[in-house]
Amino acid sequence: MPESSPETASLILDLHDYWHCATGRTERVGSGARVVRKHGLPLVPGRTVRGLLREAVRQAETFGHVKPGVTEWLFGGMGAAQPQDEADLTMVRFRTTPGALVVDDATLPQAWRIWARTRPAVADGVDPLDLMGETLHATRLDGEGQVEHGSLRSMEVMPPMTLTAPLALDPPPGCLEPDWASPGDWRAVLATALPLLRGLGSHRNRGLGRVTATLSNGAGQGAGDPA
Amino acid sequence: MTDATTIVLRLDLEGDALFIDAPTSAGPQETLSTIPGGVLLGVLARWYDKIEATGGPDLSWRVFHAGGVRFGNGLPLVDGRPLLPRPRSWAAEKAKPGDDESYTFVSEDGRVHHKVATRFARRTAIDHNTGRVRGGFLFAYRALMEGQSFVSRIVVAPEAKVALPFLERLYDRTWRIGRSRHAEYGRVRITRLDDPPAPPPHGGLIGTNAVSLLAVSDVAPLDHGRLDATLFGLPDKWQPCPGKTFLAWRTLSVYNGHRRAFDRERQVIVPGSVLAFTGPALSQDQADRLCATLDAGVGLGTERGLGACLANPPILERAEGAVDQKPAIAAVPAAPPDDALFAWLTRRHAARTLGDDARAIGRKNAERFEKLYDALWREARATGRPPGDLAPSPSQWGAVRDEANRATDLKDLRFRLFDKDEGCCAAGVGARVWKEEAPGLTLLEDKPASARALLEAAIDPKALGKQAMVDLSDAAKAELARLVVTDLAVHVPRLMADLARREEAR
Repeated sequence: MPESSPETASLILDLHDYWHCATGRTERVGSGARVVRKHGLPLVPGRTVRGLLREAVRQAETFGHVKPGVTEWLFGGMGAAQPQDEADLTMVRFRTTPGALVVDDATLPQAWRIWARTRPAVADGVDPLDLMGETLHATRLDGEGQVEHGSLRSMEVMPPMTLTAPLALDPPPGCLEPDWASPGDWRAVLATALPLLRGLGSHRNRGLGRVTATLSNGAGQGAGDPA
Repeated sequence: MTDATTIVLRLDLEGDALFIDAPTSAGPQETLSTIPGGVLLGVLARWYDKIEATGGPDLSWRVFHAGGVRFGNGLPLVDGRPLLPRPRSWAAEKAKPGDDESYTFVSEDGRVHHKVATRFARRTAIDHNTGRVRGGFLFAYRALMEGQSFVSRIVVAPEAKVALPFLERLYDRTWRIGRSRHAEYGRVRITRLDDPPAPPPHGGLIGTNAVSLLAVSDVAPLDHGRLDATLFGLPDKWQPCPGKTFLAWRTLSVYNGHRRAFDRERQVIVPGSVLAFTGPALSQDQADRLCATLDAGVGLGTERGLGACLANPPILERAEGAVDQKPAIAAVPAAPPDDALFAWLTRRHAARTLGDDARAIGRKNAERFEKLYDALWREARATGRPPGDLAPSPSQWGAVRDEANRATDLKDLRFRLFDKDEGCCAAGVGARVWKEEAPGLTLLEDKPASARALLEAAIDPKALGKQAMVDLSDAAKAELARLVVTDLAVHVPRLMADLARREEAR
């Protein structure tokens, strides 16, 4: 177990289009599906970023652009077989391995976060952060080209912006580090795989969430600010 | 024999954190309202092998299993003092179930009530084979919200002092602890408090024949369900007093990371429970023995923070209701971000909130333009010149609107409109009509009236500040100016059309 601080980097997500990372919550009246926010600011949750990175690295490994074993090293492994039943689900945890990469939320710069946390409450009038999003509406067409009844839905989307997610390499016990891995390799792996990450969030195959992801070796935006 | 060493740690949540000690797999995962001492014990367990190498299996057993190092739960820290769980005896009637009070804490004097902040999030998993949502993997977390602080006391017995150098590695750094800590959750900054607040004291015990114990943490009795007075250090003649006892139980099952499994389930008394006992008056020795037993922790799991109790704390004597309504201390507002996104948001906000102001100011200024056009067109008719020679045309107002839409701030707006080389109202062939003055017409105090002068006066920051219904920042004034110009650019051509119709009707 390393006693020094974990190695860090920053993942920079340059969003070029409207994007939507869902909360699973909707509003009956208003913008429909809402974007994830903290202190009113939109973000891409760390679990979402981690899943996107895992998919990009997995593809890069499958295509032979990075050495084998790197996906399991950074993101953990589920084991060879899928659980067949409830009892197997209990046992399968012993075949899983933890990953070494720690991913946090992708957020706006620190100046935004400090401003959002310290600004006075909006007593009357409109909160500027409520105006950051747009609402897109959509319907479904039936076989005859008519709008299907009851298919109108809406969702909130955010405008293009640049978000940054702090990354850290902190392998827990049981993490399968490849023999060939040396310090700093994980950054090279991510830098190789990131061009495969081209969209994020919902409807990214329908025009939303187009993104350019790059890696910065800086320590990130800083680990949050004391309250 | 040397005394035990106490280390008091402050834990600041730099991100949301999730602490669960029940093996539930159905329904949302609700966090505990404190940071379990077992989590810190788990962090120390990273050096289990090194500690064992230092003092053998006996030392590692003392440190991690036998209570040689007791990691207290992290209790909420508010206004520089750790809080206590809200006593369950404060419910109005014992028979009536109260609200879920597990997230509410009170100060030692009972005057400050605090509810720990949580945040709800729903998540799912994506099947990488199909790229779609994986069936049966929808789940929800209710986590402790970032920005909160907690205090944990670690008591190191003399026989476990070899572990102190390893404990020093816990603080002055940021750890990831709790559930889902590899993505998004669990970032905690741990620092050591050099001048920690004193632990909450026991109440008066000598000579008393009634003792009420407040459970500050979960308590795991050795015999399930049998709450013997001797378990808590009271003499064996003391009996439970059910009428003054307010108990709640829950199931506890701690996850062991080394075994990758949950430990056996236990039934524990929840924090905030009040256990009352009565008996013969306590002597000095008996009171000291009671305090010593409680300070060492009661029941099982003391190494991970279970078993913390207070005897006759003052808070139990205080009636609920007299709460200090302290106003929240407002944070000093930080400067707004200085980037293109914030400028865009400011414009959007101004367009939504200053639209009425802009329209009112625009209409007031439009009256002046109407008089100017009327005078200039009469001049044109009198001299036989086309009206377009003397006043800006609708297409020129369209150009003004386009420039206003592109302007980023007031300085840029003035440049786009009035710069002598590039301004649409000052440069080129069309500039002449913007400077035409109406003979004998006084609309401005300090200069002759022309279309350009009226437009400049309409966006003067001082005048805008006076005319707006609310106080405006410089950025907001810039947006208001842009909105006023846009409104004029739309409205003045309409006025021109009305004037032309009236003229034809004569």
